Amino acid sequence: MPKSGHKGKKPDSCALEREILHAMHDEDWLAPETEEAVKRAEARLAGEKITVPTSFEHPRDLLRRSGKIRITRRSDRNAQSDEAREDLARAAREGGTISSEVEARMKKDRDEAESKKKR
Amino acid sequence: MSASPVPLMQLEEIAALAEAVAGEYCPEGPFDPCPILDDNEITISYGCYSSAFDGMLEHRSQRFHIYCNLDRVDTADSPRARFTVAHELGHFFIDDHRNALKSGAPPHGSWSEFESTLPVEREADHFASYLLMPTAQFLKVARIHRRGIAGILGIAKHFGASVTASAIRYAKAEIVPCVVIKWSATGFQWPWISTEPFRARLRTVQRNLNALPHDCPTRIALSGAQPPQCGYFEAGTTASCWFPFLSSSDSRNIILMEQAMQLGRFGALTFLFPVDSSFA
Repeated sequence: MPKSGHKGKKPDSCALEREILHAMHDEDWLAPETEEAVKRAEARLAGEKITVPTSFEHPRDLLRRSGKIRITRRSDRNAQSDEAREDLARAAREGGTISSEVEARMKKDRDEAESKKKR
Repeated sequence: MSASPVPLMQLEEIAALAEAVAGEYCPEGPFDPCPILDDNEITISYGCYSSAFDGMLEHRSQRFHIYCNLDRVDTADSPRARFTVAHELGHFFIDDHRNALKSGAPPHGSWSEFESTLPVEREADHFASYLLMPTAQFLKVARIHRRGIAGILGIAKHFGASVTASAIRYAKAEIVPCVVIKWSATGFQWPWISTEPFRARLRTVQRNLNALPHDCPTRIALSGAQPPQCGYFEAGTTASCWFPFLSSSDSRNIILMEQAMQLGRFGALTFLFPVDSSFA
């Protein structure tokens, strides 16, 4: 049977919980959740020098090692896209001639497919 | 345009991309284009558009649309139509192709099924092959079928893929060391040589139909003769018959099985493999 006067947590235990929570936030064990907490965390981080582990220095290598994501440098990508663009354009030139009648049919079919999709 | 072949690394990436798409949308197979089209807001029309192309991916008003030409691919669920749609999806999923179309490259008609030598078309063909027949499923199915065209037909039926696309994957997967040759109604189109004969330096195949025996399965198939019950013609042949530089006394002049299958208006396919030895 509970002792009389033992109805809830003592006021000092609540304060202790608050302190612990505060400490966990300060140590970044918990992500800031309120606007104020985010501001505090940002202010604190602004003065800190963060050292990135050496294994994180080359994200391209990391992602490539995962083998699941294809990465291309912007310059490579532009070069490849240009090549693809040229090839696609060439394919268009080499393709058979599409008569105006067929083109009209294609446009009609596409419009129908798109309006059907909207419905 | 660069006439260079597509780098192997790039092809591997494209195959991985296609298999990821297949795994996401059709994990149990077979390939069904509907969820892929819906999810990516691509519309499609199956229509009769004369003979200018098999399929086309068009980008207009920030939206993509696929045209599949029934005048060239027969019906909407034919193996050639499925390959064509998978090919156009390749143009959509391969970043460079999609970005090029988005940035204003003109919509182009695609000739499906390995008929074009343009790198972008080969890449889309490669994508289509792996989207229709993801490797793990392909190997599982290939193992339970007989060697040669009988196995290729079983694979084609299982995946709803064309005989040509299935034959190329069969050769690529090295199920049997082999050579696949595609003929149009008018003559030689292309060969596909698996690693073993390639390493044995058997790389130049006979392109002249008239140099082959008049009663060989390939010539009979191309003559339009009625095929036997199994659907293809077959007979024994020799390597020197198919590799013109090979003398009859060369140790590589082994006995081969020659199988040939008619592909309707698309010509015929020859499949060569060693009867009971290797090419090497």
